[in-house]
Amino acid sequence: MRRRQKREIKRKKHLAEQLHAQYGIEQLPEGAYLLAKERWRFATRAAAELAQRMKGVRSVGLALTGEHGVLTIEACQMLNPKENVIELDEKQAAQWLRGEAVELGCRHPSRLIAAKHGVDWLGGGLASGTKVMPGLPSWRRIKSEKK
Amino acid sequence: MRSALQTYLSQLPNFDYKRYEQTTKFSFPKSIRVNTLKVCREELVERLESQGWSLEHVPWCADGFFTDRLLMGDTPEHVLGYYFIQDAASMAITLALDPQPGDAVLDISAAPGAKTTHIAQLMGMQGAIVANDTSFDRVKALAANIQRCGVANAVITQADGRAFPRWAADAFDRVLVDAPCSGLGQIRAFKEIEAKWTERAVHRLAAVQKGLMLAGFDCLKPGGTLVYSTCTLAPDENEAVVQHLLDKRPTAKIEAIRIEKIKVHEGLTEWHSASFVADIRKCIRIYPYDNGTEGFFVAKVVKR
Repeated sequence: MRRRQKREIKRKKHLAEQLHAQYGIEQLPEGAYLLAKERWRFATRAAAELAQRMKGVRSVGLALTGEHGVLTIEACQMLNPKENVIELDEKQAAQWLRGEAVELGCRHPSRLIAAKHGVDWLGGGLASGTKVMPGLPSWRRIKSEKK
Repeated sequence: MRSALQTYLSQLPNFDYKRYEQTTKFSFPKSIRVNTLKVCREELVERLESQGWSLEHVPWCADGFFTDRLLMGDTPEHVLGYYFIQDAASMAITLALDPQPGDAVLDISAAPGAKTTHIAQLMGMQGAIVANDTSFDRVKALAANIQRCGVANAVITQADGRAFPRWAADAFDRVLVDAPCSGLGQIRAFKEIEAKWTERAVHRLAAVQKGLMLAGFDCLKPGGTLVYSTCTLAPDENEAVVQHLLDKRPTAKIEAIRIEKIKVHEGLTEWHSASFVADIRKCIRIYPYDNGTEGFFVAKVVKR
């Protein structure tokens, strides 16, 4: 038990350092931070504890990161990144939610970014050259052109 | 010529088959539930109305709204998890369960997650929910919706719900058994259901429902509450299943369900050659023509 707790504290510290360096996030909410297949998840303590008793567990809590460490929409909503945030206009936000690359007009200094449109967090993406590719999984993209 | 289903339904006491038949020909307004885990209700309403949505409050659910909008799943607000597309009557099932912050809740047949995410919302994400389903595809849909709604206190499991007491006996404060059923309350899909419906299938489903009901009850802590619901009108899948629980588990006691501003009918005490205990009247039947929603059966049981 103690070994598991120690491992969890170490993991959380490591994640906190990464998120601070990349996104300027100061503090992580209280809860369990789980690492599975190089992806971070967040769960309340009660859920993490109950999961220990269950069989056939497929997942616990929320995904914080997806492929290549890109933040999910929920991670952005929960953690409120301060750095490496790009503000998208309405047209760019619509492109983003369809899963299309967005042209920024200039190179972004960081590869990993978080995108925002007004008050809405749109999740993380990967910058390459002057473009940024949203990390939205296909099931979460808007299919039609119009709202 | 009348189909076997028509004959079956016309035998239901206090059921207006003609009105039911009429409702299967109209399209009812759809409804959404604002996900207050992510967004303030008033802000979202204002935002959607400014985009031309027409929203009308669901009288029995503070976060529910009827709308005439058609493409509700393809909007930024839906992608961001600000609302869930959910039938208005199904919101009443979660209200009957009445989950409290800090509870341990089991949703034994949870996919696609409308009620699970509503439960999390009512619990203010305090406590924990085990959201279970059997098939891989259904669990995938459940996981997607739990993620989209930002529910951090859910554990998703894939198991036969009937096996749960092996590892989770007496573990939960509340259990929701929203059982797979013949779907006679799903008027939007009525034509497909009518084409496939047989009385034999009803009996086969009833056997599964009885198993899930007993398992769900066995997972309750003493003093805990179980809600059993289906979206069908068949007494063999509803009152008969509740009666089966009462016969097998003497500590089970039916409780009255109080949800304001929704028209309901009481549970049946007789069906064909079977008779059920008088307490089964405390269960509720929601008919599609009453509230302009899908039809449901809901029973609330406590473990003494």
